[in-house]
This record gives sequence, structure tokens and C-alpha cells, in this order.
Amino acid sequence: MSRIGSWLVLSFRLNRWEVLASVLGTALLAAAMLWFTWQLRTLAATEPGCLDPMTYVAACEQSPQAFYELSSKAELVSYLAWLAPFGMGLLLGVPLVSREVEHRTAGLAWTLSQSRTRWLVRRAALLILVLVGLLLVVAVLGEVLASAQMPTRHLDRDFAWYGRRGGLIVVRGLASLGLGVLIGAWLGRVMPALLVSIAATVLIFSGISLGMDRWIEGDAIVSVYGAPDEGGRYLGQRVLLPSGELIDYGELQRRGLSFEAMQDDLIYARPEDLGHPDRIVGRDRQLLVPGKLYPPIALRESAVVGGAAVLLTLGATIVVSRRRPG
Amino acid sequence: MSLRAWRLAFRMQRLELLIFIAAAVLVTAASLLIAWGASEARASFDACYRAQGTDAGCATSPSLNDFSMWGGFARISAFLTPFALGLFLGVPVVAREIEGRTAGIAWTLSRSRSRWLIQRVLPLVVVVVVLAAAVGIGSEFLTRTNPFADFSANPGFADHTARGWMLPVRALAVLALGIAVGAMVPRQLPALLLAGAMTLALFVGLSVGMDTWMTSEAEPIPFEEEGRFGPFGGGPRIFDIAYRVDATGEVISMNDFYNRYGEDIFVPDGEQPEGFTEVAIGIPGDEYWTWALRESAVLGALAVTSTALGLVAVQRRRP
Repeated sequence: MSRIGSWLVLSFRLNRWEVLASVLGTALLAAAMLWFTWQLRTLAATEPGCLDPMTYVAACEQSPQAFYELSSKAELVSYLAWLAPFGMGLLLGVPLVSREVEHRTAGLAWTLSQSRTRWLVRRAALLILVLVGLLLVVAVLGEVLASAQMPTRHLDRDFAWYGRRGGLIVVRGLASLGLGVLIGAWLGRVMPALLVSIAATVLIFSGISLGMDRWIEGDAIVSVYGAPDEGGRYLGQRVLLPSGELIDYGELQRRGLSFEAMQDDLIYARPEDLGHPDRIVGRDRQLLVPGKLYPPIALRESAVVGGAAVLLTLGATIVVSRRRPG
Repeated sequence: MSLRAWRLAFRMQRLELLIFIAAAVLVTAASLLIAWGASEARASFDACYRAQGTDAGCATSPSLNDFSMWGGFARISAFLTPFALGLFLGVPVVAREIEGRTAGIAWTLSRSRSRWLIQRVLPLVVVVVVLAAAVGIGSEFLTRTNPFADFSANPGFADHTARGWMLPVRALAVLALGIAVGAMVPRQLPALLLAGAMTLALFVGLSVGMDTWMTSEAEPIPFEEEGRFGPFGGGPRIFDIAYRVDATGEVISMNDFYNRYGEDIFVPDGEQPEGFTEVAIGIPGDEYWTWALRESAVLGALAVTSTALGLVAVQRRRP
């Protein structure tokens, strides 16, 4: 057997269960996504004018409802696509080093290898290939299902299903893998490492998501609350004060500015103020990032998450180089 | 059980136990603090409202909305606690010994495999019950001080999956299931995945089954028109809305009502049709304990079955 062949066999054998579980999970998810795509496209092709449940068309009584119900179920499947990179990344990453340390085979493996870094690269390479391959399938099928679920929208400039389709899925998977390897190498026990990795994933990715929201606030436009989003990313409801300051409703409460009445987009402190625009507390507004900014913003977040993946991988390499093998 | 056996059992999973103890302390302390803060803020808001007759200028900082949001996070943690405790502590009990090839020595040194398993599991049962109960008590306070409800005397079914008695019961059932799966699948991570999937399926099934059972015993509950926090006090479990015929007491579902009387019976200003009273179909909050005991019995049966399966698997499998 060639060197590459023996490397492949050894790498697969060492992580057989995790790889097989990932492949099985992806296969089931892909099958569900393809089935929903087929069903939605069939419905759309039968009566192309009957896809909007909000618009009454006399000729199509049942189709909008059927399409809407199927779309809701497809949306649930899309959340599994959102979850896949985190689950798969941790499942493959956490045991990579921790199992060797826990079973006290790390010392032998590291002694037999030319360097610990080289050992880590050889052990991680197959898992990275498997992870990228499987998540690419999920990412592409996410796009396919999204286009079937929202046939009238231009998804190349639309924030719909953000993080549930496209390349961000793959990058998030790589960052989760790096995090799993790092924490696994640090703790050296599979179960505790998995627990801590799950908590760290929630914290890190919530932090990145909140940070990105703050970052893209500069690209957002202020519009009347409830105005159509047209593929934009909704960043929250705001109040435009008469002074021109834009604040959220929590801040409004903290400043003791309560309100009891609203007319159109005007907010009043008391019902008797209605009809007196000079007595308004503020105007009801929303922050929206235009849909045309979807490609650059998705790319920006991919770069941030990718940077985190590189840092986490570097951290894992340093921990593996320095830690005791048992 | 000797003190030595307890110490050994703790040492085998000390890292997981430390993480869970820290997390449980954090969640419980956070729940109690949020409950205390919400209670104080609500009292201050109510006093201001009574004095002024309006809520203008009565906002507190942090606001009642903030407390409600933080309480929501704490409740999610409480809901997840029994599953995390049961799976992460239960699965490795046998699976780790077999995976690490130490089961043979451990079983040879013990008088019997069943005795070995009981000695390993008993300390975990104590830890799981204590931690889940602590989180459950913290969460109970959280629900009873909900700033937008009046649950201080009787929360009924409100947040019933994330508070109180049900948390340790659920944790024990998941622990037993985790041990059984770990004894049958001798690798920790695959066993954890399988046990997680089985837990999800079992609890979804249990939830659907309990709802069906409750629906079959549901009764009409009148609306409280004057309720400060919506039409229902006392945390009932509502499944449907219907009309009761005042003259006969007959309860008609909404669909049947529309089919029988059409839309013309409704008065223009949205008031109830004359001669009918709108009621909810559900289980009153007072009956919460009856249903909690029934669900506990089902989970207890699951735990006993899982324990028996785990014992059989440990007795029969190769180390």
C-alpha cells in the first residue's frame, strides 16, 4: 500500500465512528433537503402564480396554503444546516488529541513521529477533508433549497437564511474543528472537552454574531418600522427622538420615557397627546442593512470566522507541542 | 458503600463533575439573583403605578423587560440541565472503561459486575439529583417572580419543563438511559450521539403522549376578563378555545360553532354572541401536581427499564 493509502486507512480507522456519524448525518440532511426542493419545485411548476399566501388569486385556493406549509417544514430543515458545522466540527475535532491523551497512547504516537506538529497535521488532514467535503454539500444544498423555497427572490442579494446556506457554513465548521482540537488538547479528556467546547462555541459564535451586527450597523439604513425589508437584514426596532438621536426601546425605558399611545409611526406619552405631533416622544423606526450588501457582508464574516479558525488551529498546535502526553 | 468507593467514583469523572457543579452553581445563583431583582423591580413599578394611576415615568432600571429576557436565558439553561447531566455523566460510566480497556481489570477486582456498576452509579445519582434539584429550585423562584404574570402563589403549568420537581426526575431518567446506551455501545462519542438521539425521540414522544392524555381529560376554563396579565391566572395548560352554550352548558369547538351558526351570529363590536360564553379547553393549574406525578411515573418506569438493560448489558458483554 502506498504511503498516502496507509495514511488514509490509519486516519480513517482512528476516527471511524465520528467520520461515519458525520457522513450519515449529512446524508440524511441532504436527502431531506433534496426531497423538500423537489416537492417545492413541483408545487411551483404546477401553478407558478399561486406561491404567495398573502395574495388572493381566485384561481388558486389551495396551492398557496400547501406551498406555505411545505415551506415552513423546509425552513425547519434549514436550521439543521445552520447547526451542522458546529456539531460536525466539534464531533471530529474534540477527540482528535484528547482521546490519545486519555488512553495514554499520545506519548507513543508523539515519540514515533518526527514532530508533534507533523503528527497533528497528518492526523487532522483527513478530518479537514471530510469536514470540508460534507459541509460543501450542505452549503450548496442550502442554496438549492432556499431558491426553491423563495422562488421569487434574488438570493444573491438577500440576507434570507443567513448562515444556513453558502460558504459561511464551511468556514464555521473549520473554526469549530479548530476549537474542538484546541480544547481537546488542553483538557486531554473527551467528555469534559466536549462539554467545554460546546459552551465555548456558544460564547464565541454569539460574540462574533453580536460583533458583526454592531459592525454592519454602519451600513444600515433607517426606515419606518414595518416597511418591506426587500431582502435586507433587520437589526432591530429603534426610536428616532425629536433631537435626532436614534435609540432602542430598552434605552427608551432606561431613560424613563414611557409611552402609552401610537399613531402611524408617531409615539406619544399619553393618549390625549394623539394628533399633536409636537408632543411626540419619538418616531417608530427600524434598522435595516440593504440586501445588495449580502455578498460583501457574508464575505466579511467568513474572513472573521476564518481568522478565528486560523488562530484556534495555531493555538491547538502550540498546546500539542507543549503539553505532557498523559 | 464504603467511603473509598465514593471517592473512586468521584475521581473517575472529576473533571465533568467540577464543570457541572460550577455550571449548576452559576445557573442557580443567576436565577435567584434575577428572581430577587425582578421581584424588587416589580414591587417598585406597582407602587409607582398605584400612586400615579398611570405607568408613565414608572420604568425601572434594569427594566422589567430586561429581567424577563435574563430570566428566559436562565430558564433555557434549566431546561437543558437534566439532559446535559444525564448524558455526559451517564454515557461514560461503562463506555469509557471499555474504550480504555480497563473494564476487564475493574470487573475482575469487583465481587460482581452488578455490584461494580451500582458502586459507580450511586454517587452519580446523588450528584445528579442534588444539582438538578438546586437548578430546579432556582428556576422555581424565577417563574414565581415572573414580572409579567402572577405566579407567586401557584405557577401551575407555567415553565413546567424548566423548573422544580421535574428536573431531577428527568435527569435520573436520562442518566439511566445514558448508562444503558454506554454499556451497549463501547465508544464514548458514538454512545453519546446515540443516547442523545434516543433521548430526543423519547422526550418528544413523551411530550406528545402527555399532551394527548391531557387533552382527553381537558375541561372548560372560563376567561378572566379582569385579569391583569391576560385572560388566564394560575397557569392552566390550554389546548383549545371553544364556546359554551349558556342555556345547556354544552361546549362546542370553534370549528363546530362556525359550521353550526356561521359568521352572522357575531356582533359587530367583537363582543361574544349572545347566549354563548367563550371558554378555554385545558387543564387548570391546580391539577399540576397530579400530572407531574403521572409524568414522573412514566419517567420512573423508563429509568427502571434502562437500569435493567444496563445491568444485563454489563453482565453479558465482553470487557
